[in-house]
Formats: sequence, C-alpha cells, structure tokens
Amino acid sequence: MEILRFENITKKYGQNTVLEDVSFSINAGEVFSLLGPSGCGKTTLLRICGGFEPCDSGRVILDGVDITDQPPNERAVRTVFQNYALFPHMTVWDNVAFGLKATGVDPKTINEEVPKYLELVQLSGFENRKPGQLSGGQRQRVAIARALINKPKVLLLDEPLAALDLKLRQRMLIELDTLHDNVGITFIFVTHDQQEAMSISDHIAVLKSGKIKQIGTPTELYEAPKSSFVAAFIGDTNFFEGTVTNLDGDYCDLQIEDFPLLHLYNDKNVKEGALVHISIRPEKFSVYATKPEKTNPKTNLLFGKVEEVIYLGAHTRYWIRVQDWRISVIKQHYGYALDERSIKWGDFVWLSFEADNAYMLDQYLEDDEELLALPDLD
Amino acid sequence: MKFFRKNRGAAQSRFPMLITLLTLIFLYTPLVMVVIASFNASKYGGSWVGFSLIWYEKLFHHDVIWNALLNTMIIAFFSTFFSTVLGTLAALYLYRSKSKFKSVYSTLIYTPLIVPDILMGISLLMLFVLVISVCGGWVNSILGINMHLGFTTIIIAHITFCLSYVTMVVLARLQEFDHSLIEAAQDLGASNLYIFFKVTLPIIMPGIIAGALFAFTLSIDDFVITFFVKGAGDTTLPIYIQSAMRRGTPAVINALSVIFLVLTFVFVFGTQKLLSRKKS
Repeated sequence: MEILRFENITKKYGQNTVLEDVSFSINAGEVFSLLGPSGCGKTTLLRICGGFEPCDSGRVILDGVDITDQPPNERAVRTVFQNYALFPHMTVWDNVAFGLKATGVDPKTINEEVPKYLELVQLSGFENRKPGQLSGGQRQRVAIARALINKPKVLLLDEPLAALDLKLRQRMLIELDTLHDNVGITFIFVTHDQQEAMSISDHIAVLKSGKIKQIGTPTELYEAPKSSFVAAFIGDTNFFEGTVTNLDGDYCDLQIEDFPLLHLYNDKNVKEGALVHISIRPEKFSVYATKPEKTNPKTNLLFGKVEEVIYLGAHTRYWIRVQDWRISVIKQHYGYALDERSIKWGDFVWLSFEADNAYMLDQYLEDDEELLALPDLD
Repeated sequence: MKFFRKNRGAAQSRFPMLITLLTLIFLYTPLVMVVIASFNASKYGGSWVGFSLIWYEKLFHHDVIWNALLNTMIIAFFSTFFSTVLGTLAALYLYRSKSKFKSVYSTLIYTPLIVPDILMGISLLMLFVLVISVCGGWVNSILGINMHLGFTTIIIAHITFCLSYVTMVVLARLQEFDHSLIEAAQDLGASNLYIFFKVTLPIIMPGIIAGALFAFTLSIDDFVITFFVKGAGDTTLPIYIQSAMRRGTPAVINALSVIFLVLTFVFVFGTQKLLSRKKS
C-alpha cells in the first residue's frame, strides 16, 4: 500500500536545477533509501517532504492527502536531522517530550509515553542528561525517540549515521533496522553510502544530478543496473563496449576490440550489429592458476596477467590485464587464505565467468568510470 | 617567582609578558590611587594623613549623592529594559532577514558605537529641542503633559546608544545558533510562538543578559550624552561627580568611586562569564 508519493517534483536554486521532474511512490511500512552522491538532490527532496523547502512545481501526497503546501508543524512526517538538532538546553526527557508538549498533549499521557519511547531506544536512565553529556550514538537515539513519539506516518532520516565512526555506524544500522521492525513506521533514509542503503532498505532510489536513475530492491540495483552510473555507484564493476554478433537463441556473442570474444545472455534482445555496453561485477569471475576444465560451452575463459593484488581479509582484489583491458576481480577466501594467496603479482592466470553473469546497460556514460576504484597502474 | 620561571621546555621570550605587565600597571595605577585616597583621612589628598573610613561614613549620610544614585539607577533600569527588548528584536531580525538591505541595516545599527559621544549628545539635544518646540504646545493642550528635557529625554538618549551594544551582543550569540533547532521544533509540531519561548529565547538568553549588563554598565556611567540632554536640576551620579570635582576634590567622591569601581567590576565579570559560557 502506498503511503507517500512524489509527483513531478521540480526545484531550482536560481539557474541551478536541483530536482527535475522527480516522481515515485513509497510503500507503507518499508525502509526506502534515497541514495546518491553529494549534490544529487536527495537532501533537498527530504526537506521538501518535511516542509522545510518549497518545491517549484509538483505535489507531495501523504496517505492520499496533498501536503505540498502544509507547513512542517502540520505534517504527519518527522525528521531526524543530520546533526540531530537536539535542544541543548533541555534534558533528554524534555527533548523527547517536546513534540507532545508542543502539541498540547496532557501531562498524564506525556508521563506515560516518554518512558516508553526512551525504552524503545534503550535510553532509560538517561532522562536527566543534557545532550552535551551524551555520546554520538546516544544523541542519535534521542533524536529518533523524539521524532517517533508523535507517531508520524513517515520518519525521514537525513544521513543519520554520517556523524558516527565506522563500528558505531554498523551497530546503529542494525539498531535502526530492529527499531523499524518494532514500530512499523515507514522510514525514508537519505544517504550517500551505498552499503548503508543496501543493508537497510527494501527499496532504493538512486539519484544523480536531480534525476532518479533507477528505483529497485538492493538486489535488483546490484544485479541489474540500468545505467553505468548505478552499476558503478553501487558496488564495483567492469565495463566493456562491444558489437553484438552470432545471435543464438537467448544468447549472443560480443565482439570487443582487443579482447577475446565473449558469450553473453542477450536479456535485452539486442539485434545483431548493435553496439552495447555491459557490466560484469568483479566477484562474478573465478580465478585459476592453471587452465580449468570447461564444462559449459557458455562459460567464458580468459587468459591474463596479474597487475595488482590487494588482500582485504575476507577477500582479495586483483587487477588482471587481459589483452588491452584491465579487469577488476574479487576472490572470496573459502579456505585458509595463506594458501590461497598463491596467486601473486605478475602471475599468468585464467579467468572464467558464466554467460548469464554479464549485464547489458541501457545507458552508458564514460564519466561514470570515474566512480570505479581503479588504480593508476600505467 | 613563579612568573619568571621557565616551564615550557624551549626558551620563550619574556618580552610579551613584560609588556603585558606594564600595560596592566599603566591601566590600574590610577584606580589603585583612588582606592588608597578613599581611605586617607586627608581631605584633599596629596599627603597620607592616616587610615580612615570617614569618607565612607560621610558618603553614607550624603543625601544629594544618594538622590543622584537613585536617579542614575532609575534611568539605567528603564534604558536597560527598553534597549534590551528593542536590541534583541533587532538582532533577531538581522539574523533571520534575507533582505538585500540587511548589511545596510546592521551598519546603521552599529554606527552609534563609533559616533563620538559629544556628537550623539548634541544631535539628540537638537532633536529633543525641535520636537518639544514643535509638539510641546499641542501635547500639553491635548494630553496635559508638559514636555521638557528631563528623565524621559535622558532615558531615550541612553536607549539609543545601549541599543547598539545589545544588538551586537545578542547577534553574536545568534550567529552560533543552529538554525536546524528551529526546523526540528517546527517538525515536532510546535507553533512559532512556542518555538520562540521554548527554544530560541532560552538558548540566546545568556546573550540577552550579557547585552543587558552591558547596557546597564554603559548607562550608569554615561556623562557626556546625559550632560547634553538632561534638564536643569536633573542630577545623575556622573553629573554630580563632575560638578563636585569642579568645586575641589571632596574625598567623599573617592569613596563613591571605589564603590562604583567594585560594582562595575562585578558587572563586567558577570557579562564575560555569561558570554564565555559554553553551549552544552
């Protein structure tokens, strides 16, 4: 069931278009992320939703009601601000109670509700502290309790984890997820961190320069990116450009300049002779020190030289030169990694990947290659 | 001699500290002299006759001085009150305004800080005289109020220059104010009035109190402007002191100065404490 809908939202600051004709809807009870690099318009969209920023055109529909022109204090949405915006002169209790007091809720209800929400965010016993006496994670929990106490229909979270260090960020992410399961309120989560978005969201909207590039589940975005931007922004990937040849049912061949011929699954039904761009994720490749047995005729087998090895604990990252192309490959360590590190810099190796594991892109822009973590080896 | 001990590892020049000490001596010697003179039994100073509290005792029974002090306090109270309210409102406007004239407004509000007192005094006097001569007649006939130079004009004049200080101090406090707090409060359903009294005002209160203390301090020791705009017979403390000094140097003034000195120090320290108080 739909809870929030953006219809043709456009926002300009002077000549600069921040959001351009953005439309999508969000289901009730889900965690929906707005993901994009800084300056993509995600925070502006959130502020339009919260009522802090007017939009130039378009409507915001909350639960069937047009809230576009409502001031922030009349909307049934609450925001957790990036810096938490806790009232520094008030105790934790007063901060959490603020939304109830301000809307004239009777003291008896306030005294019942506040402890409930403090318990929900595990801050019982901190009632009389001031925000200045709390850690970053605790402050954030106060901000969340304060926002939830009015029982909003939608909770907006503006980069809520950006101010925390890595370990705490991972823990708060799990806490947020648990909290979401407990309260069942729709969360809209703004972030520039694709891992955060991937791990918490039901759906993600990827934004770039004020436009929605793709909306989908984390798996859809990762496995089936429509554009080179989504492919490169979410995770890492390899891009290839080639001409389609030898159509064979659902499969085809891809002729890439200075590269072996690849067999691909033709999921876009591309015609023979068409120029296509494909994305192959680094972990789709298998690396072998010796030539593997080819069991499936659709398996692609490539031969190359290791140019860079980066050991990362759970996996190792290789950059492998295959003719004129450099391929990023990730190898998981299933066994004891000290043995598996037998592939070294300068070794000649075999790479294999299944024809189904490459994905054809609808849109390709060369600039997006800059998002890839490519080392400068030349 | 802890002051002269080298305690920070590498050799540091003592020259800056020396200059600081000399500056402090230069600043405070006259004040120390007054304090000493106030305890001197001699009437005209010059030579030390003996320790005495006689001038403090005389001061205690000096009705003219007490009357002048009362006047000073009344004027200081009203001018502080009005300049604090007006100055805070001006600061709030300047903080929020997105007007292109914003910088013009703030320059105009700050200008009285650097306009010489004598110029302020003369121009205010001219204004008051003009207003009284133009409106005095019909105000008297309609409202029955006799407009003349006096407490009201002194208070108005004091508000004029105190206003700038209050605005400056409150605006400085507002500049550190996190605007997202307002948005957070709106987001939580609070009305603008509720936000002002529960969020904005408590947070900028130290700035307002500091501004008020500033205004109070300025008002109680203003001489030049008061001298121009006061009516005949209105005596504030600085005015009284000036006229007493012309008639010689009654030692009772020294005792009064010491009391004033102490009060001023208390106020200045209070102001600084409030201004430097960390936002929690």
